[in-house]
Amino acid sequence: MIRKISAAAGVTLAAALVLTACAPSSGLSGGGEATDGPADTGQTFKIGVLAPMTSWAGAIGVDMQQGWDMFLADQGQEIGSFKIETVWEDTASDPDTALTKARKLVQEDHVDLVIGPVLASEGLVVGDYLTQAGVVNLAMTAADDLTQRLASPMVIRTGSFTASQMSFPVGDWASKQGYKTAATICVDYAFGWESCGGFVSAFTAAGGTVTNQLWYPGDASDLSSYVSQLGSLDVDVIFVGSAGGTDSSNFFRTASDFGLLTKTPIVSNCCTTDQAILEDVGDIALGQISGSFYAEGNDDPVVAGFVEQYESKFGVLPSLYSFAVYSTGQMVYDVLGKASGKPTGQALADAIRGVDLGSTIIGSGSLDEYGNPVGPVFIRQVVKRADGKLVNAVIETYDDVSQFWTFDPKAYLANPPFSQEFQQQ
Amino acid sequence: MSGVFLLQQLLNGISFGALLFLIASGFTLVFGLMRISNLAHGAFYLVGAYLAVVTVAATHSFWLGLLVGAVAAAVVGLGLERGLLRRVRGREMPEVLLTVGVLFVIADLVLWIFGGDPKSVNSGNGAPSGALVIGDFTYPQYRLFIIGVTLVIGVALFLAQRYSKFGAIVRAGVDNREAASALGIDIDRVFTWVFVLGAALAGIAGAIGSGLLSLSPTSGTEMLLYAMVVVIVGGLGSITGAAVGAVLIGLIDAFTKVLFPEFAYFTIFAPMGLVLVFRPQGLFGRAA
Repeated sequence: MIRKISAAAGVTLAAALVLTACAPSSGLSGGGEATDGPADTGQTFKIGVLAPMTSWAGAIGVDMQQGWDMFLADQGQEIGSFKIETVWEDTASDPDTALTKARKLVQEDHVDLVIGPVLASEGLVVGDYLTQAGVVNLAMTAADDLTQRLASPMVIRTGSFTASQMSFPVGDWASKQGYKTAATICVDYAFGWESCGGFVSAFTAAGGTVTNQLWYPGDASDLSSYVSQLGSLDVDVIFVGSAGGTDSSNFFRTASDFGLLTKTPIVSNCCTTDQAILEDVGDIALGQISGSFYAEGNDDPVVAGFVEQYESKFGVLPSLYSFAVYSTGQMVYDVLGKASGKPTGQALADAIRGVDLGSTIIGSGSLDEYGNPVGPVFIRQVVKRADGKLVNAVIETYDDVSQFWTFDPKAYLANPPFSQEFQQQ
Repeated sequence: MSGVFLLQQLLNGISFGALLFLIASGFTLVFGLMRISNLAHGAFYLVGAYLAVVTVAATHSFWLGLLVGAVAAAVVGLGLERGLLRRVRGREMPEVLLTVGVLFVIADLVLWIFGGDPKSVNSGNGAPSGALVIGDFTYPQYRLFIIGVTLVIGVALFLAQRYSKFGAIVRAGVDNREAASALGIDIDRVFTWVFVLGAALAGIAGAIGSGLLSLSPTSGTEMLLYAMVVVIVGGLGSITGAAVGAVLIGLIDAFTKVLFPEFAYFTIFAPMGLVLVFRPQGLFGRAA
């Protein structure tokens, strides 16, 4: 026991030594010894990033790191009078770990703001903690309530739209194609309820009728029962709200095998035709329609330039997460570039809320009073590029889409959040 | 509910059950003889599946992919048995911890090498693809192919266990390890071969399964879970039990999702729970 205590004391002592050893050096870089930067007045602005780098969502973390690397390479490590320092923490795709790492970023690294996390399960816990700690959180999750019923002055969703916000235009678009009846199949947890809720609300508001709604468990691997069921329905269109992982690959492959893809038109949420899925399922996804705030096949010069640069740098197309971390970086730099003193806490949050999204790769729009983007949502179609790669191209743009669609925010917020039972605003 | 739809659901249940059997058969074989809950079975699935994906992409031959997947899983199995498991033989806790450790290491290696994006064996490439159409009835050929392959493997395992000399030795080892080795059977060598066979079966399941269900580094744990459930329902160590358990769970899963969608979460685990309560040794297991 005593040995254990002395060992612990030893570790603490060692840690203290390391800390004191580090402290002067970071002080020096601000003291004038490091003179390589032109605008070096010595202020370090520390950004903590929470990303899943291991476990099931590990691929997202890699995308974010590459997006951020490219952002720093493009925009430099210095902005205005600030030197940017980034501290990465791995959430291991787990909410408890995400919270622990958020604490570490605040208490040990003393970061000025936190970007991330990405997963909905992590987002709400971390946002709550950072609000209490008074540290700005630039969230990247799609969980609706983060900027609705649980909105916080310190939390701003810069790296995503809400799940339902990306599906509203899909419902409206489907109705405009002349589809009168629809069935939906969505993953059975908040993200799926919200994706489906967005489609159902907008589709019915535009005059359509939703006849059947199927929900599959998040861990369901074989979707054949559901696909057989969808095949037996007589509807004009099917909406798919998948989690964007193996579930959407399995859906497309099964739907193709069962002849559903040629029988009934299918439209889907942001992630069902994600680049990673197209890579896996190949040509059977050609022509598929979906809605998102990002389209790697967008021919807008700014986005196309971003995609081209990313592709030549990393050899792969940028994912939604690479795009989102880049646009988040642009918002932070926009604020820091104009700041005289170092903005922190509420002042920083307020400044970020004022950023014009037209100055970022998102293209246009602003942040609403709840901290959520009001911006363009693209109706995308999977097409084949000249080099044979499948990409989501833009076929229609819905500008200034709000997280409340065309509904009144007050009435919207008085309603319960989307669930299996509540689907129609 | 139309007849066509009913038949589709029936085949959905049987084909998913067939895949479950492929995964569970190796697991139950190894447990029956060695009394090891080999949690690395999920890792063998991953090895077989990912190598099949790579091989098929490179050579455009499904059958070569299947072969490479099975052999690679067998080789990893051989290394695990000879190099690691042998050192902790007979000590249950170290065996379980060692195999689960191997599963984690291989799953993370897969994430590191292949990334976390979904992967699968592309359809075609010599494997049956497209749909079988008879009048109103449509059914994917690949699923029928899985049922066929599983029948062949299942019958072969059953016959080998019952009628071959190796089968007799294995059965002797299952019944009484000490007596078998007293009769001059090199039980250690039998262990190794059965373990390698189990790994190869998992590799085959991986190669075939990745044409049906997209792969990710977590597929290993998912499939391991299925294997364990099937084996608990069917009875540990029994091939017949694994076959019945797998088809039963496949059918319950397919029909519950349609008839009682609100119970979709329990389709796999409810049968297991019931069996554990009313017949803890499993449907075809022998009471301990």
